[in-house]
Amino acid sequence: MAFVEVLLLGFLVACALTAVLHRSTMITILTYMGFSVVMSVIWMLLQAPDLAITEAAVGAGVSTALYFLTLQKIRELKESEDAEEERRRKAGEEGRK
Amino acid sequence: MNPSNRNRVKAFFDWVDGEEWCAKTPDEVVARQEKKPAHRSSNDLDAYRRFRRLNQAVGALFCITLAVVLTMVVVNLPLFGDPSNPTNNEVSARYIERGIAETGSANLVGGMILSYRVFDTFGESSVLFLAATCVTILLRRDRKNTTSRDLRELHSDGLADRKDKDIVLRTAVLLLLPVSVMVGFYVMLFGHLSPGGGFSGGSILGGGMILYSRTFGSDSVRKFFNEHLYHLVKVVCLMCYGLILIYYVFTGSNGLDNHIWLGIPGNIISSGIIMPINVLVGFEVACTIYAFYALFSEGEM
Repeated sequence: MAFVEVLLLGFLVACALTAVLHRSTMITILTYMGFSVVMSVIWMLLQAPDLAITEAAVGAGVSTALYFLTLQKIRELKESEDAEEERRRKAGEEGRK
Repeated sequence: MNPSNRNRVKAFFDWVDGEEWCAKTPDEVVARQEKKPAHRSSNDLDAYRRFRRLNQAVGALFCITLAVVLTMVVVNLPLFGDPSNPTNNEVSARYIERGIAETGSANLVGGMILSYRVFDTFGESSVLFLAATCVTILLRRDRKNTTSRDLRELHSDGLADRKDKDIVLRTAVLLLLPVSVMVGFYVMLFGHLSPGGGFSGGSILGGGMILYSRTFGSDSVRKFFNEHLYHLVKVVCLMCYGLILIYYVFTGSNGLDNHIWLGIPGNIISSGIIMPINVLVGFEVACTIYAFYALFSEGEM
């Protein structure tokens, strides 16, 4: 059991560091969600099942959905798609010239 | 109403709408907005660079100090589960010894936060209510503050009335949705018997509603949950909670007999005020969470 706990805590630290240091905002949000899921398992191991339920529902579910909505709103998710489209359009214009 | 008063009222509304209320005429407003910033000299640029370097140094120092202090605190914390910890005092002993008899709730944590500390929990619900109101004020879209450009952007972003055609997502949500709604209601209704309670159950229910809205479009949610119902549920739930709390506190503090029947701990209908409060809080939280989602994505419910 102690081994599992150490493994989970190590994963927690790794998730936290990735969430802070990674360049891509989408991966930051996904690792943050992973952080919440692992945290809820740890709450379960610490015998706080009500906190585990809340952490899984709010931390992993709702807040991630809100983060993704915000990303979509500020067009962070579609950035690569837009850039690709732009490139294709420019290439088409040059081909016509 | 005389003209000067009307002007003042208009100025106030302009100020609420973000206009320059101190300007008298529209020309003055334009003149104010068109004033160019002063020309930056190289001296200013040097000052800015110096400020930035100082800023970085102070920030790094602050971070390192905070990390050291927090690490020292964690090292000096008492051991987890040690019986001589300062938290194991007469308060928790009282909760454990007489909690079930006094609150009638088999879930001691639920009994504690909704009976001994029900006033705290009422404050938390009010905070949630205020947060939902603020989000509504800031993000709500109506005819006054929406241009056709906003609507076009909303449609091009795929945020307005989104329906997902993805068969994997639709099937997964169809399988997951009944389970999540049922678990939500279970956690809410059995909050006094098993782990959970109003907040957890409500957030599971709200999460289920978000899934449904995301996959089948917000129109299908609007069939059973519209803005009118949202405001009704939000206000009525908090008000009923407040009334129950007033009765509970009034009878308790005046030494009157508590007429709320506690029942047999372990039965579904038991534990007096805890079960109704759990249900009320659960509905309020579910509404608020779905409202956050709807306002973030479309600006309306």
